[in-house]
Amino acid sequence: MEIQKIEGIIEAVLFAAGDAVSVDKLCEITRIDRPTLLSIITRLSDSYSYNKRGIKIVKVGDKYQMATRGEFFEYVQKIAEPIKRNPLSRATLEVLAVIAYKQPVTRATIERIRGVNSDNSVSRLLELGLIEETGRLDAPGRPVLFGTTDEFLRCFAIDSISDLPPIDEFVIDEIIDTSSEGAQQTIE
Amino acid sequence: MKQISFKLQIFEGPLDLLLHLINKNKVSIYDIPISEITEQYIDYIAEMKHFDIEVSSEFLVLAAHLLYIKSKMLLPKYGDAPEDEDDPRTELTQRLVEYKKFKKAAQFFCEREFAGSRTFYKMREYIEPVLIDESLSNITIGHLVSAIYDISERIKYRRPVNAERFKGIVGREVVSVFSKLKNVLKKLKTLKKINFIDIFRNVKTKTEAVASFLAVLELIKMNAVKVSQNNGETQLKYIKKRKGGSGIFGNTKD
Repeated sequence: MEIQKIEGIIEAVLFAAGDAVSVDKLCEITRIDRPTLLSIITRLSDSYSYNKRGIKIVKVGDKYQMATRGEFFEYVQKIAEPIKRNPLSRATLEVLAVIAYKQPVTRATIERIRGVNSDNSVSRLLELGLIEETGRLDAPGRPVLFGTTDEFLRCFAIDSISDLPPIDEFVIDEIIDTSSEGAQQTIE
Repeated sequence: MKQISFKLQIFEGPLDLLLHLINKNKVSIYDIPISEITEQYIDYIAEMKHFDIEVSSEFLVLAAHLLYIKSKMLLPKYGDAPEDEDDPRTELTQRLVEYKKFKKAAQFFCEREFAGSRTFYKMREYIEPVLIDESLSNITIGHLVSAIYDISERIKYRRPVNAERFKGIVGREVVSVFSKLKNVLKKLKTLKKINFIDIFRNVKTKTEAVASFLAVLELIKMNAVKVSQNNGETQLKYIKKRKGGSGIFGNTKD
């Protein structure tokens, strides 16, 4: 099959689906191996960007989806009902961070890491559709496991969970910083 | 260490407060001066109470843990255990380090919270199921012609069904109430008195039984019998007609 035709197929399928379509499904439809398909999608997506089209192709985890380009936000929002959402509280963001990095994770683990009850934040995140129940841990009480959703990836414009910066990166410089200060303190 | 003054800040939890104190005192998370930090921590809780802020149990649990560590460190060590080993602060330090990572990660998410909000996505589209109809794909006019020919051929050889053949299946037994009535009356005339049950003695089908019963009712209506009941036995007694007997069946039909 010509590349142009495959591009057309992907375009048509993504448009018709609306929601994100998995790479596996696209492979099945086009009967093309994964690496080739991915390179074709990248090519298609690049051409959208290059031509500054109103639509772009977004990666959502292991899926692809069509979306409007951010530059056109002002125009597109004119057809949408304005809803304002308050920013997430610090506590809720902490819970979200724990779930994003530790998923699948139980309430107990979240609580252990934060040292404080986190039920309210968990409910809020469930309500916003940023996290979901992904199953139950095979342990006494069979506690619910939580994980992030596609909506989370879209909201924070993250391609996939594996694209998050490694959790250890957040503290490395800090540790060096405080330990040197601490050393001075003890000398005194 | 000098008295720390701080505006009463709200913390996300005991670990958050502890990290704040460590930062404020510019001490290392890996070598926490437990005595000072514990003191400040407890001061803070007292302050919270002073401001009428509800102190959640988690804060108290950590306060107790800090006091425990403090007391453990005051106790002399026995044996030749190296100093590093068994530091009661180790576990707390690990928890603080882990919590700090997620606190920073939360900041990362905070900055990106609306990163995707300028982009619009579609909801899952409802896609009409595609109907693949193969039922008429190979049909030609020839098929229709031969079908109508087949039908007309079959009709030629069809004969009307004989109704007699169904009699056993759908037929209805006809028992006349009148004939039963006559039977009962005949018996009564000779015996004068019979048991109600005896009327059904030779009855074979349901219809017959119903007809017999209706006959009895009819006789009662005609005042031809008198019914009496005692000890669970029902008896029919013949009443002699004053007028000629022929008129009594006048308004009785099957």
